[in-house]
Formats: sequence, C-alpha cells, structure tokens
Amino acid sequence: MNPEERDDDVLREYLEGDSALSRLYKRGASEQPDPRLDARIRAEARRAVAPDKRVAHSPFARNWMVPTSLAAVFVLSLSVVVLMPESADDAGVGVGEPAGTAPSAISTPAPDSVADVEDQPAAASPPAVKRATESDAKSREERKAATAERESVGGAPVQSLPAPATALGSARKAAPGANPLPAAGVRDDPRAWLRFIEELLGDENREGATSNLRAFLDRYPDFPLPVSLLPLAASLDAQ
Amino acid sequence: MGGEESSDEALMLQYRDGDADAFDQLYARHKGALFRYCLRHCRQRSTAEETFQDVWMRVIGARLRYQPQAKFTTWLYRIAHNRVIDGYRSDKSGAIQSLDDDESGMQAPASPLDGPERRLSSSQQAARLQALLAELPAEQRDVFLLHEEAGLALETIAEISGVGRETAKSRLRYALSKLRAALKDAS
Repeated sequence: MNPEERDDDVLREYLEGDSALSRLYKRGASEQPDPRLDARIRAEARRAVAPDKRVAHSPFARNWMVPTSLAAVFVLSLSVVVLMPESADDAGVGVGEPAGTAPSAISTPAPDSVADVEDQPAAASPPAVKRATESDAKSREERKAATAERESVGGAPVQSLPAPATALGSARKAAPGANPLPAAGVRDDPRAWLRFIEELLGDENREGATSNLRAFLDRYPDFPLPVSLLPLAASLDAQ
Repeated sequence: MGGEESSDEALMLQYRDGDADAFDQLYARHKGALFRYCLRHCRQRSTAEETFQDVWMRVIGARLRYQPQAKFTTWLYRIAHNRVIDGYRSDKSGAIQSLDDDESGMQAPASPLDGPERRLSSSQQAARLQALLAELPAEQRDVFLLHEEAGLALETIAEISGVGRETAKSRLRYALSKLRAALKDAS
C-alpha cells in the first residue's frame, strides 16, 4: 500500500468517527468559557429580544409605523426624482459645457458605474466622456490601492481580489438578465459582493440580485445589509 | 417538560420570535465546542473569548434573518469561520498560512517527538496533540476543528470554507498525516 492510499484509509476511518486521533483530541478538549462571559452573552441575548415598551407596546406606534415609513420612503423618492434633472443640469453647466451639449451630459450616468459609462461613449459629448473616464480611472486606481493595502495587512495570503469595479462590470456584462454570480474574489469580499448585487438591482436584474442575495446570506449570514437591499432581503424572508 | 428535546433549528426560531430561554438552551449546547474552536484558532484565551463573544453577538444580531434551511450548526460555524478569518486578516502577526504552498503543506511540523523521545502518557499525548494542532497551517487546523468540534461533514466544511470538497479533503488529509506522523513515536 503506497503512502497516498494509506492516507486515504486514515481519512476514511477518521471521517467515520472511529479514529484514535479523534479520541485523543476529545480527551484533551474540555475548555469552557468563563461563567462571567456566559452571563454576559445570555444577558445580551435577553436584552435583544426584550420588548421595547416605549415603542412596541404603543398601539399608535404599532399601527402607524409601517404606513409612516412607506410614506417617508415615497416622499424621499419623489424628491429625488423631482430634483435629479435639476442637479444633472447644474452638473452639465458647471463643467463648462456649451448649453447645447447639456442634455447629453445629463444622459451620462453616475461616475461610480464604470461599466455604464463605458457603455455609452457615443451618447455623451467627447470632453464629458473623457472627464468621466479619467475620473473612473482614478477611482479604479484608488480602489486597487485600497485592495492591495487590505491584502498586505498582516501578510495574510488573502485570495487576491480583482479590482471591484472591473470585476463587477465584467461579471454583469457576461450574463445580462441572467443570475450571474461574481468571480470568487468578489464573493470572498462581502462588501464587493453587496455592491455587485446593488448594481444588479440598478440594472433591473431582480432575479439575479435575488439569487445573489440568497447566496450571499448563505455565506455571510450575519453581515449587515445596506438599506438599499433590505426590501429584497425582506422578500426573501417572505418566500 | 420531559418531552422530546427541541432541535437547534426550532430553538433558534423560538429565540428569533422572542423566547430568550430558547437561546439559553442553544447556548448551553454549543458554547463548549464553539469556544474551543475559537481558542484553538486564537491561541490566546483573551482573544478567543473576544472572538467567541463576537460570534454570539452576530448570532443575536442576525436572528431575524435566520432561516432554518440549513442546520443551525452550519449557520453558527459559518459565522464563526468568517469571524476567525476576519481576525486572521487583521492580525498584524500574520498567523494565517496558505495551503497553496504545497511545500509547507507537506512538511510535518517540527516536534519534540521527532527523535528519540520517551513514551508519553495518555494525557501528555492529548496535550501534545493540541500543541501540534497549533502548529498546523490555519486552513488545515480549521478543517480539523470543524469536524472535531462541530461534527460537520466534509461537504459542509467545504461549503463553510468557500472551497471545493476536494480541497477540504486534501487539507484534512494533510492535517491528519502530520498529526499522526508527529504522534507516532510517542504512541
């Protein structure tokens, strides 16, 4: 029997739960947390589910919390929609464009979406595109630097992550309208993955965003979600 | 009382719905194993306690999103694994080691047992095993602990670690091989 076969036998025996190594390990594994730590955690668990008398027990709050929240969201959304063209107008004029080119500048999307900017070069006036591209290139460089810095912390061989914007853009382009999962590097970085999901939502790929969010929550069940994804998460809970 | 014991998943759902006693039961069931999982990774008791507490705080914080589709143990150790990885990433001493380096993956850790050593008693061997475990690369140690402490199957360990089954299997095989080799002389 060669060493590899012997290792496989050892592994099989170990996984079946009948190994001397397991017994030896269990013999020495008896440490327990400090009782004070137990008490602290249990107290926190109780505090978390204790009813908040000020809000939850108030019939007014219970009846009006949801409608009030929805109304607030509606008013905020309406404000954004109403104010957005004015802001875009301001931006077009502010960068010194001739008045006639302002509408095409408005059609340029927000500069944090590299893929979208690159998709629409013909729609925007050349100087505007150039500025947007330069701005995005700078932003990409900053993100790369931040990623490199994070990877170098402690010398830990964290899996190398692609620059988020590039990775996200290409992954989304690869399967438009489908349920694309981002590259493994992005999935290893919960923040990058959440950005990816937000962009899917922005692309109106709700199905893709839903399947990604489900996979995300499987992998990072406790990671705090951004406000923009809470409605989608709530819809998952309801399923 | 005296009826059937509730499953972990049922207890977590009860806790999600506001039953703090259910949390106490869950905590009592898992605290020892989870604590040892943290302790073996962090080595220092104070860091392990901090990690352990943080994992439970995350469980408490994520209770409303808990779905009983996966086993509670899988969910709990996924949170713990992620927390431990975060700890390694922020650890300035850079304790994490990669299995990508096949050389380091194949070498048995240096051990006082390598050589003409006396036979060790059972309790000494158990203590020796823990010391050897601490010398393993973090990823191999993780797979070993997820099986030993959480009782997880290889597929679940692979899922939690975000790697394929074969990678997880390979890590475990290396870990076992090294531990056995280092203990052999004393047995």
